[in-house]
Amino acid sequence: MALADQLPQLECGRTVEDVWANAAAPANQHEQHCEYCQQARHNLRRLQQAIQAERSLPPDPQQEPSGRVRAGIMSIVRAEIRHGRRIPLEYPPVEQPAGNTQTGSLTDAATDDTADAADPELAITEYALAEVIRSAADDIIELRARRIRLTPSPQRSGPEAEPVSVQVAISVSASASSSIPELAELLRERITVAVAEQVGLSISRVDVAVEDVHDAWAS
Amino acid sequence: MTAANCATMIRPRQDRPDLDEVTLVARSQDGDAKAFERLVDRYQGPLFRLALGMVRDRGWAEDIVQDALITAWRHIAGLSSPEAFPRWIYQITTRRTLNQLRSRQRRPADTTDPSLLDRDQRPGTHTEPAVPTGPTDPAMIAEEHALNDALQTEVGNLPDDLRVCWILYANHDRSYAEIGGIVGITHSAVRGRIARARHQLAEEMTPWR
Repeated sequence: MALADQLPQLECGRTVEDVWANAAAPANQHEQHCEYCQQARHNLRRLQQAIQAERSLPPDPQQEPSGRVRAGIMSIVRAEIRHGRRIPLEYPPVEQPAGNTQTGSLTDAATDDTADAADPELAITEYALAEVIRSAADDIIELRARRIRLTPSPQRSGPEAEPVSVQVAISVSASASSSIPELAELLRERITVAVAEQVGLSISRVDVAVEDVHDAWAS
Repeated sequence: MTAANCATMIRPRQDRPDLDEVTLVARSQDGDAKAFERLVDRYQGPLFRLALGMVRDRGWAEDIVQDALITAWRHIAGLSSPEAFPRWIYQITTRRTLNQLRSRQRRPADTTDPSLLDRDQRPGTHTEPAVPTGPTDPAMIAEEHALNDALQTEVGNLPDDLRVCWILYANHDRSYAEIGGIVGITHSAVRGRIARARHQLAEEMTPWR
């Protein structure tokens, strides 16, 4: 331990912490006769008064940051929003390679099973879809929605366009006064309806994880 | 039992002021800018006061807070548990402040001399309900201001390593263990620094009386 981290001592050998610990109580036997301790007690009481004064004074506007701090932060935050994957509202038809290989380009299309599905005309970002879900969950006052995971249905190749459905996993805190099964059912319904109405995607499944319970009236 | 029974639970289109901090952090981890904005509203004041107490320059302190919260936004997804957010954001701000003080990246213009601050000393504005024993006598209020000014001056005279611990302890109500984690020192080093800060402040405060 560095010397500088040792506790400061008075001439009488006691530490200032010892005096501080007893500062609110009457002077003990030693302190009644020790001039160093008496001085330290006086000084510490003075400091305590100053700390109380600091706490009781009204808030000083000089101690608040100007509006540029929040504005500067939020402009960067909004510019850096991670929009996530684009989820198409439907997968376009994928022509089966009829028989054996015909052209190189067709073979490429058939084996290209990555999710970007040739830049679908109608798609929603994960960020926007999560916003819709969060907003639907926020309508339920007994719930506090936390994290949301989205899993779009996999693309299957077929001659018809195929609507995309999404699985939702959502973690929540639930009010202690509520019935969790009822809340979960209500949440599933709200999410499914909101996403269908506002986005046009179907929700295949909503997994609700209640990871916390909060008091009904606490904030 | 059906969802219809739950109709009273639905009060649409609320901005949900009741959302707790863990929820706001979890949402921010998912990239929700609105949730993060509420964390900014919660923390920018305390973090600014912490930085201002250290660098004693408003513009500099504002830059530190802005950088710290932007860093938090960029890395919040990697935070292992949302409960760790307060300590984490204090740690980012404190270490950034100390690093900048060490390298003196900016010259502080001394704008925080307490005697220069535009204080409102009218007794009518002193209406702190939380302090029922607070004085209403103008002479006592002036006395409180004088005491506080003296304290701020002496805190400003503490060395940086003591001052950061003192401010976290006295103004931000952080425990020794928390301060150790924030500053990156041991529990006993925190205890030593607080004791030395208290000793120095107590000695220096007295001549003002």
